[in-house]
Parts: sequence; structure tokens; C-alpha cells
Amino acid sequence: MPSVLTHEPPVETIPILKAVDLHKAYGPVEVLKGVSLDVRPGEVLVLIGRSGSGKSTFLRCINLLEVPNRGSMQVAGMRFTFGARPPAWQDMRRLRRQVGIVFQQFNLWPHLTAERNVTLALEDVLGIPHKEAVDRALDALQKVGLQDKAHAMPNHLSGGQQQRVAIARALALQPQLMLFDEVTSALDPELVQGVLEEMRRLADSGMTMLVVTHEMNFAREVGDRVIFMDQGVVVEQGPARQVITEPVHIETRTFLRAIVH
Amino acid sequence: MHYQPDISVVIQHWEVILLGLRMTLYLAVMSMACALAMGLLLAIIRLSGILPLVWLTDAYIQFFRGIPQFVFLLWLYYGVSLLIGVNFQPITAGVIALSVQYGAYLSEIFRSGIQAIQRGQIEAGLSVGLSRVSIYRRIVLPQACRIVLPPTVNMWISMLKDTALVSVIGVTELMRTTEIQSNFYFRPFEFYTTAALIYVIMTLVFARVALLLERRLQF
Repeated sequence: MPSVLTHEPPVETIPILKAVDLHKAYGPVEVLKGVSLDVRPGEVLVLIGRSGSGKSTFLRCINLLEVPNRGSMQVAGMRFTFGARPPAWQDMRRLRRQVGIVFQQFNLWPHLTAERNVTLALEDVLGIPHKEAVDRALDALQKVGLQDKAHAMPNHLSGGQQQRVAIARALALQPQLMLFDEVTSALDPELVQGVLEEMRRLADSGMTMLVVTHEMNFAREVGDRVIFMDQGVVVEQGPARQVITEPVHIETRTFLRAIVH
Repeated sequence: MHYQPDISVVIQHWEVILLGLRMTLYLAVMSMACALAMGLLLAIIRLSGILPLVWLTDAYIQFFRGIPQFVFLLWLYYGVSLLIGVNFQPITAGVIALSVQYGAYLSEIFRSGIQAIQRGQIEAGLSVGLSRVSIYRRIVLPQACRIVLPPTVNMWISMLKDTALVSVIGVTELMRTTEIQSNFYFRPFEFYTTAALIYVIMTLVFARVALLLERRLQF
């Protein structure tokens, strides 16, 4: 540590996520070619880019649904260095408890009620007694406006409602970081706003979020920073408003023009 | 046509037939229970990806799927018993023969049922930190159950009928009882018709139960 630093940096500037030079390849296809980025506590970071740019893969690397081939990562106080050996299973589970994810296809468990979708991990992972888990689940469902749907089966809910249950499921574990993987892409247009509204509220409550989305209005209004990825690398990053309204790089401009019109 | 069917002889001996039926059901239930356990175990091992074990289960499935039930039963009861010096009880041999082969069939059904669960379902489990056991027990198996129910019931019905083969090694189940009675009273038409009808009725009943179960398991 350089001697000019006389005191520890203030806590809130220590990133919740610090990814360094992450590489991911499937056989000969390199999807991530060295992606580095930080997310600070309370920050909403939005990842944009074409499909196939690696943004979803990057997101999935953060909770190790995909394990990077190379690079290192520090998440919620845990450190991972990727190389020949995959991380220990127990470490992966510990990480996932701290990092929630919401998927494009909701991935609710269709044989369980909305409430049970939320309580399952509370009981099986955190070991919370059933009664308390139910209370916490109802609380989480209430936060997304679905307390009256607690006993509904997922197939009896609209796509938007299912996605909000999925958000509640992730939030109930009180993660330090939330990942959103194109969560509105599979929704009927009229249901998109409800889910975005939920995410906006979550951002306002101070949750740290990493969001992959094609919703540029959301990115501009809710995002603190926007990162544009292309072909597995970060091309441009900066304050949300700036990247979206006055992008510097030609690729970013081309992309934004294509998506707006 | 000199033969005059006479159903009264069957009615007179319904208790004996019932005893045979009881043995048939016993054989089928025991064999099915073993086959289900075996099938699930084999399917999970096969999906585990642990290579030597995968090869072993694969060999097991291919081998036992390929032998006719009848041949396997006789081979086990008369052949293997000599080789290993164990005198199987006919019932035991029957249960082993049925469950070993149906275990192989069922494991293929279970494997495809488990594989039909979408990757996203498992990822959702991983993403909230569930253990592998929890993911299997709470997410994969309950959903796979619904998928495999209809083909499993088919296996059960097929097994019910296959128990008739076990009569050749002297288990007095429905088929053997029928044979003995019909030879004794010289009424093959009446007795075999009765046996056939009993098998048909059982099949219908279980198919019906399966349908109700299937509706209840819908989500």
C-alpha cells in the first residue's frame, strides 16, 4: 500500500463487486475477453449491448452460474481467482446467498405456490423456522404488491406477477447485490412497466443492482452508471445520462440509434 | 359344438381364484416397489456423470432390457441358482426377475423425466444457494414425478400382466391357480376367460386411478 494513504478509504467506496479481467470461452468461442468493472454499494449499474455481446454471460459469472476461465473477482467480501480449478462448491453457495438474481424467464418453480417459492431457500439454506420463513415471505411478497397472491400457483399468475414473485424470492434472502438479466424481455408490453416500477423502488431503497436491459428509459432514469459492451469487452462506460444521450464511441452510437428507432 | 360352457364351476371356486389374485398382486407390488427404488437409483447414478458408474449402469440397462422376461426368469431360477448355489424360493426368484428388468426400464423413464426439467429450474435453485440434494428433492423430483407418472403406470400395468410368467416356476398366482383349476375340472374355457377378465379389469382400474392422480398433480 502506498505510504501517502494515511487512512482507510471510507467504507462506502469499497466496491461490493470488483471484477478483474474476466474471461469466458465456450470451446473456441470467446464470449468474455477480459471484462473489469466495479460496483459500489447502493449503485445501480446498467449493462447494455447487442445480444451476443457477453453482457448476460458476464452477469451470470457474478453469481457463478457460469464460471469464468480466467480473471478474478471480489464479491461481498469473498474473493475468487479463476483458473484451472473451479471454485469450491461451498464457496459458490456462500456467494449466491449474498447475490440475488432475477432471470428473463422468471424460473419460478411451477409446482410450488408463490409463498413456497420464497420460503424454500429461507428454510433450506438459511435454516429459518417455517413460521418465521412464511412471515418473511409474506413481507417480501407485500413489497412487490402480491401479498394476496401468496397461495397462487405460478401458472395462475401473469408474467409480470411471476417476475415480481421472482424478485421477492431473491430479495427475501436479503442479498447485498441484485442481478437482473433482461427481466422484462419475456413480458407482454403492458406488463413491463409494473416490473420496472418495482426495480425503481428497489433502487430507491438503496439496493446495489447490476442490470442487463434493453429499456433505455429505465437505464437513463434509474441507472447511476451505464456500461456498453460489445463482442466481449467493455467499450464505453460513464454516468447513465451521458452514455445514453451523448455516447462517445461510434459502436455505442450505432447501437443506441438502432434500439431507439 | 358339443362344449357347453358352465360358469358355475368358476363361481364355486372363486375363493381359490381370489387366493391366486392375491399372490399376483403381492408379486406385482413387491416387484414394483423394488423396481421403482432401483430405477430411481440407476437414473440418478446415470445422470451423476461419474464415469465408471455411468458405464456400469449403462451396461446394466442395455443387458437387462435385451433379455426376454421369460428367458431371464428361467435363467435366474434354474441357471444362476445352480451357479451360485442358492436355492431361490420361487416367489423370491419371481420378484428379483421382475424388479431387475423393470428397474432397467423405469430408470430410462426416470432419466428422461429428470432431463425434461428445464435448466432454468435448477439455476433458480442454485441462485438462491440451495444444496444439490435440496435441488433434487424439492425442485427436480417433484416435477419429474408428474412427467413420469403416465409411463410409470404403464409399466405397472405391464408388470401386473408379466407376473403371469412367474407361474412357470411354480408360484401359485392367478395364472397358475387358473391352470390347476382348469385342468382339474376340465373347464379351460371358463377358467381362462375368468383369468383374462380379471387382468383386463385390473388394467382398467389402474389406468383410471392413474388418470385421477394425473389430474390432481397438475399445477
